[in-house]
Amino acid sequence: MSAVAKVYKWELIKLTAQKRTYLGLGAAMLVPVAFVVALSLQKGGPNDIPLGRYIRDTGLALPFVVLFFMSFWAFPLITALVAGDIVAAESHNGTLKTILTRSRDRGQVFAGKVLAALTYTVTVVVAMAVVGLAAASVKWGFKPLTSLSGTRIATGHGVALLLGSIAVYILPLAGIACFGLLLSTVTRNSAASVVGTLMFALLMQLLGALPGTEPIQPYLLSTQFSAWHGLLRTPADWVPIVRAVWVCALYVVLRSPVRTSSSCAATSPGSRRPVAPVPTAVSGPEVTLPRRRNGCPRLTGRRLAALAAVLLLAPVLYSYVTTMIQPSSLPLGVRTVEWIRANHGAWIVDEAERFWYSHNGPRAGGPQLTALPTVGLVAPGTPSRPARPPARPHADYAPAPIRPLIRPALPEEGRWQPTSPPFRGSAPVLVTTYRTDPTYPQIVAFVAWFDHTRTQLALYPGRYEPPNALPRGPMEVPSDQRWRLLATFNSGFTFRDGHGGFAVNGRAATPLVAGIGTVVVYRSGRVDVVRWHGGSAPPRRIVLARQNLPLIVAGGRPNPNLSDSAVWGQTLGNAIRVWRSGVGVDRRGNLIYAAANYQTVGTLARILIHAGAVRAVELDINAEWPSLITYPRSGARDPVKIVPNSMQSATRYLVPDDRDFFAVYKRVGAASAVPFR
Amino acid sequence: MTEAVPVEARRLVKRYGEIVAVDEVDLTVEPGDVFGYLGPNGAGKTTSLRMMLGLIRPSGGSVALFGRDPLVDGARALSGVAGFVEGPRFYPYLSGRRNLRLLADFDDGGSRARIEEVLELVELRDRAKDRVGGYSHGMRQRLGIAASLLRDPRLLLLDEPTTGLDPAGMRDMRELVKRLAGEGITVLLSSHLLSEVEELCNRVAIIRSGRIVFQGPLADLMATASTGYRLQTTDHERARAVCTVQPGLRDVGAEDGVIRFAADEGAVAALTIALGEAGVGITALIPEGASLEELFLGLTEGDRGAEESTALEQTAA
Repeated sequence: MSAVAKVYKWELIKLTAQKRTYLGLGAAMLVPVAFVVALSLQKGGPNDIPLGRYIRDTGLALPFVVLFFMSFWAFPLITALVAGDIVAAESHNGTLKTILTRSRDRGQVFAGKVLAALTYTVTVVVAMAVVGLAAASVKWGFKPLTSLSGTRIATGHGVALLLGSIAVYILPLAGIACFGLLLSTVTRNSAASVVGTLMFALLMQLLGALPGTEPIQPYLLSTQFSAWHGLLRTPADWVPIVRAVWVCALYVVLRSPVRTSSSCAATSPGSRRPVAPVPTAVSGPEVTLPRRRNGCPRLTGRRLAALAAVLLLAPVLYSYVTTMIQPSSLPLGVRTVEWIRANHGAWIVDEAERFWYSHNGPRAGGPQLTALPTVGLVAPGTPSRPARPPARPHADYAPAPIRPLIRPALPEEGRWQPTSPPFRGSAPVLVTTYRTDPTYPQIVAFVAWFDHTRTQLALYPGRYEPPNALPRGPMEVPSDQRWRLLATFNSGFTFRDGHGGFAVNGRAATPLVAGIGTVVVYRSGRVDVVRWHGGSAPPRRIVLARQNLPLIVAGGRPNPNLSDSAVWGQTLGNAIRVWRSGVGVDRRGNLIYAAANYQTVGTLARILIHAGAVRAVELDINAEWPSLITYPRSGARDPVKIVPNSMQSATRYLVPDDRDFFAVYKRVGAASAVPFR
Repeated sequence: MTEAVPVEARRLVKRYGEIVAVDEVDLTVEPGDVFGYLGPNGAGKTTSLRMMLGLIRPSGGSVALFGRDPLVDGARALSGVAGFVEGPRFYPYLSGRRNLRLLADFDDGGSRARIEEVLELVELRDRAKDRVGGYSHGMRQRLGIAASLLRDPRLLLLDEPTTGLDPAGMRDMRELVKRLAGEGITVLLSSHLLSEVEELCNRVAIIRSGRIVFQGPLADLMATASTGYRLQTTDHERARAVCTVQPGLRDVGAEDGVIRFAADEGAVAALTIALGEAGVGITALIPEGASLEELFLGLTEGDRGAEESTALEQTAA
């Protein structure tokens, strides 16, 4: 047996003799079991991640899914626990000098330790895969797998691909392990090395997610964790795998010079802090020892506490970081609030909002506005001409202007303005503004009217809402539909808050709930806002259905329960004056959208009624969310924000958005489905 | 072929920033020596030993073990050398025997075959299957010796091997060192205990604040120390008269029937004859003056020590 092999053998024996080793191993084996249990008890699944949607089809899918999940911090942490410790612990215990005064060179000792750390990493990943495969196969059977390209993969081939994927997956872990070894050797402090290594891995992820880092992304270690996806395509995509091999090799090699130069100095833990030559008080043969400074960095209580705090906070930090680095259409601040709301912090956000809004309510009275915000295709100051071309009698209908509530009325107040050139007669989407309440003369409502005979309403899932959309689609207005795009507006609450359903093209991404206010579009193209009487799945005649709370307007009257706060969802309830939006239908079946600041659910209902709605639902609330955007020119060029939402851009729905939204198209041909492509 | 000396350090320096832990130390250990490296805590003993074992890089100077520099030759320089610094350290979660097996695998040659033998030698066979984590301090020290003996060394470097042991443990450890020395192993042991060095060593070096203040045979040190004599006789007055005229005697003083003087051994021998011829009976002739301990304190303590050490250095040289 060669010298390195002997060192390696004893490193393995040492690992097996220590409890800490089993901590990581045990955790790695528990995670897939936890996955199986959780997925057995729950309905949803990790549909958004590679192979996630097949997780209940075969036990073969689970190890892949867990590989993906554990790449963020679990495997880096487990790797760091051993690699960061393997030199530092020996230095700390003084055993390093015991073995370095034997006949093995430092290079041989180090090589043995590197091999042992890598062996541990491989063992942990393989253990996870074996346990995961076994547990998932017991639950869902050992059946053929569906590849990322949608093809069938026989079970035997699937196992081979799993092994191959693990091999590729080990590469970046080896890179992390080497970084841990480097830190371990340089710092000789286990805690610093373990935490530092983990931070290194997280930093790589963060770096990869920052905007503008696209050119370096392929060369980050974190990117290599998904290289194995290439194996699961048909035909296999070797490009990421080959890149992973050389990128990871580079990371390992780049650290070698540092390693060798530091390994010698690293062998003397006690010598780092010199024992100062102090005059010694000696009295008789019993020498009173001056307090001797111990050179070994010890894990003091404070350090342990700090380490524990970091480890405890790591999942929180991780959750925050990964949420923030996920692609999103929102600014960081808004997403931070949403993250707190989503992670058991809803009460904090609600309390903060309640406090804020109750101290920042609208001012009663005050100076009168001298002009309203300009909306539609009319230059300010020019009197509008109601778009009434007589050519097409059936398209002749235009809503009556909204009766101003404050006298004297301002120019154009309540008068409908076109948002686009005429289409089959006149402009099919009209917008206006008016002041809603004499007590609060500063409040302006933004209202839109959509001709139901000439427009088609579509509903699209966003990136995260609804959570289980299938298919999720483009998350923006499909590019091949933009030539006929007239307007877009926001949808309802998140599905966590809203207790409603979501269905598009016959599939319910979130089950529909009876009794809830629902925007529906029928195959005929007719749009309506109704109280849902059907089951959880949409009937064939329904193209889309979006639910959000009970109807706030029914039969032309406000819902009598609008003052009952419990009904109006978990956030904010009914009485807080915030930005709110809603959508309803008028007597003739045309759609009316309204949004205004400083509204309660009751005043929002009154705005919709005043604008002509007979049935209406509330849509999203709070300053971030209400958006009404019109597109005066074909191809969605020059979008115009009607609702002045400073936190969302005019191109909000022309790029992927986090939340679902409505799009209004010119109606051409049959409107029997929501066009996704 | 004459074999290179076991330890030869030349102008060895170790600096930590401003602090000079070891300052131009020259040290030579001859084959067969039991060499005592004596000094108070913090004087630089351990740092010197670390450099000798190649555990840290000297800031200046060089070390050769049997002619090989650990910095140049790496682990090969430690061939035939064994020992420990700052107390032997082992893997607490492995048994004593397993620790030795591990170390044997880190050695070349037949260390493995000697495991039972050395365990027997340090009387740890009964406890060899227990984890080192449960060992007492003394047992660990003994295991440290066992681990060193595995290598069948010609040179043992032991850093304060008796520190922290109870009197019986100290006695056993010293017996062991004597026995090993008797088998022909060269030993360099550091200590802050004078009595230990006095009992075990034939040669000593005394280090203070990183500097060697004495180096040479123990007997020389003793000789330097014992320069005074106390004389009591049957006839005080006549004895005093003899002493004052006797050549080779210095600093003669007398009070309360006791004569004190300083002289070398030859002069003392001559004095006894002179006294006899003068008809004076000697009731007591006792060498006194500074004991080794006082000398050690003088050498290693404060400014006074510094002055004396300068004088002593000249004497030793």
